[in-house]
Amino acid sequence: MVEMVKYFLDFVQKESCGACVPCRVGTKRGQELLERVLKGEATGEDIALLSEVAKAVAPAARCDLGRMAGKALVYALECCQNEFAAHLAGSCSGTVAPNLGWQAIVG
Amino acid sequence: MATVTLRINGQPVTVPAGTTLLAAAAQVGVKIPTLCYLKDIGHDVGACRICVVEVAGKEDFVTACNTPAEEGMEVYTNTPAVRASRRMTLEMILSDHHMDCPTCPRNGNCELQALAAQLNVRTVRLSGATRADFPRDDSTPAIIRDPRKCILCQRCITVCKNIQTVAALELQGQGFDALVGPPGNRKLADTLCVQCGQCALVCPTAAITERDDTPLVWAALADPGKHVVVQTAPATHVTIGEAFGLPPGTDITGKMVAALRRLGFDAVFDTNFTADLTIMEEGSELLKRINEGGVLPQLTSCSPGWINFMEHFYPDLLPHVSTCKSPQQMFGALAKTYYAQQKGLKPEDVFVVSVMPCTAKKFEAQRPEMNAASRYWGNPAIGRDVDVVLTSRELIRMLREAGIDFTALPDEDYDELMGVGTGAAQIFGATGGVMEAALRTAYEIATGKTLARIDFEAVRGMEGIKEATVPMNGTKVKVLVAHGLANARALMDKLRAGELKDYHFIEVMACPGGCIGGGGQPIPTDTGRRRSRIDGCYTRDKALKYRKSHENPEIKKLYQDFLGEPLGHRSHQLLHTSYRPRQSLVARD
Ligand code: SF4
Ligand code: SF4
Ligand code: SF4
Repeated sequence: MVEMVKYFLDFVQKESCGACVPCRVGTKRGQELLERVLKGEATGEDIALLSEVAKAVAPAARCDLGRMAGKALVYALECCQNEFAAHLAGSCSGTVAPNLGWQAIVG
Repeated sequence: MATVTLRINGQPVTVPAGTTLLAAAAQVGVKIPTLCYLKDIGHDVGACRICVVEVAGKEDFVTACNTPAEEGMEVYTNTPAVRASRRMTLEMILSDHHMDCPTCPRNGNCELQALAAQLNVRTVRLSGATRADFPRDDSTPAIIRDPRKCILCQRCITVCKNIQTVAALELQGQGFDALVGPPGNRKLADTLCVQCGQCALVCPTAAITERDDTPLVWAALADPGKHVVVQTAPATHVTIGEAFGLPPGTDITGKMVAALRRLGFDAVFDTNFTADLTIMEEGSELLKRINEGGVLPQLTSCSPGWINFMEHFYPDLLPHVSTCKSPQQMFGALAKTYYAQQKGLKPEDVFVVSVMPCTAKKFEAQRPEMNAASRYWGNPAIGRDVDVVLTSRELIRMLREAGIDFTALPDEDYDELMGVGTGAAQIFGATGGVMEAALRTAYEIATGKTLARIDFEAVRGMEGIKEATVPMNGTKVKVLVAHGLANARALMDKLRAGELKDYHFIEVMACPGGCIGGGGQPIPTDTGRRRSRIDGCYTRDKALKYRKSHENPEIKKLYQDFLGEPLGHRSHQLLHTSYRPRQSLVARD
């Protein structure tokens, strides 16, 4: 799930018009924090910050692209706590393969 | 008028339909923070997302700056979620900002700084990639762009496109790498930018600023071999005081003269003097065109942003433009000829500084043809007619740096020879002023009669395009006045279509409100301040001893001792110029 959200944020960064701050910067910071999670470098504070970013982006972005990115992050953080925890503990081997459609778009 | 009633933080408020939540909240004393919003230029794109509020029944926030109030709405501007979102959004902006406040040109007068203080944001927890790699663009003599400080509010895009119709800047790129700048990664110098500086006035940060030429002036002042003279443009007489806490429109001319002496200038002169001279030359040119069947309507030529605009967009209409140089350039040419000669100075030792409300004046002074004194004496060492142009903002910085207690200074008078200006020259600072000044003089010269009423109210005020008709020796002289390049464009399209054939004279100022709203003026420059500064110009006009350019005793002396007559040989050598089409730029864009 962490990879899924990361792919989605990569997609949003590619598509974002860059006009509004939550989408332009928020999803970038989300991407960067998720990268830390995936590399096993993240701390509990990073996760807390990620959650704050997500909650700020979700209702505030200018269009649905940014809003969806924020919401996907919020839901993932809420629903898949164990996966994030596993990454923090360095014990996650990956769950589902990333969606190939997104992978194709993101390149 | 239809009204709606809504609640803001529980307080009921009734407002006209169409009122934004931001304005409705203000009515009940709730100040919603904003960053990108700028009412003055109709900019409400909702880019920054700082003004978000909660509306009962809506899952997502709405932006207060561009959401109209609706009947029965329940709006909450101050919930924990809203505050957290605003603060985090600001942290996002700051995490991508080149934050060197202590050495930044906008330090102390920056909307981003002010917002961080207002929202009590004291740490930035986010970090990561930044705009560090976006290069600074210093390709023009006037405008410097630093995308590392750009918050992508897009105000500059709006003012350049909608108010000036130049559209030199656009939002481009995707996601985090989005950039506001000239399309195609071009340098500003390679675009249609006319260097009016309106973008610098509206930029909330230091992402667009004027080029700082103060070091050149400090160096000249410190050089014992240089005789450094300064001229002050009419519009600066009523604006510089704002930086020292005086109300907009306060006449600070006498204090500015004193302050410039304290800085060490060898002589302090008034651009109003050459504004009067412009009226003599331009008025005579107009009468000549009317009497001899020249190209009409004649267009004014004192606004360099406007001249750039004509050269870029309407090169076919250049024959309409008066051949008179701007007052700034007339001054430079005379300082290194007439003044040097009268004072027994070597022209190459005279160093001319201008204090201007304008960024485009920096460009104008560097135009290759603006070296009339050098050609007059046949001495390349004389260089530019005007050596350095300082905007109002730069002079203010010099005064601060020198520790000058501006408001405590006594009023002093300009130096003699090029220091007397009339009320007609003073109103050059306001839109319509050049026209009014020209009419005062042209009427009296053409008819030989004294004007009963010298105030031409019809050409005054902030209306975009103004019109007047003045009977003069049997001819009904028809004039138009436009300010802001969108208004100018509307007129030029008509002129091109052959619709303005029966008009005689058109004044255009590139900046809204005229020079008092110039791109080099104190920030903020908003509509309210523009109005107060215009009032300041007319108040000063009334207070001056002479109110018509042809009555200026120093101008009479100048013609007697040096120039001969308006449009004479020396005038042509020193005070007139020509223009060149720069269509190549248009073709490229
Ligand atoms: S633009 Fe404002 S916030 Fe940015 S460095 Fe300059 S003063 Fe500081
Ligand atoms: S200086 Fe004037 S023309 Fe140039 S980008 Fe700024 S607003 Fe546009
Ligand atoms: S350059 Fe200034 S006005 Fe233009 S988008 Fe950037 S911050 Fe806003």
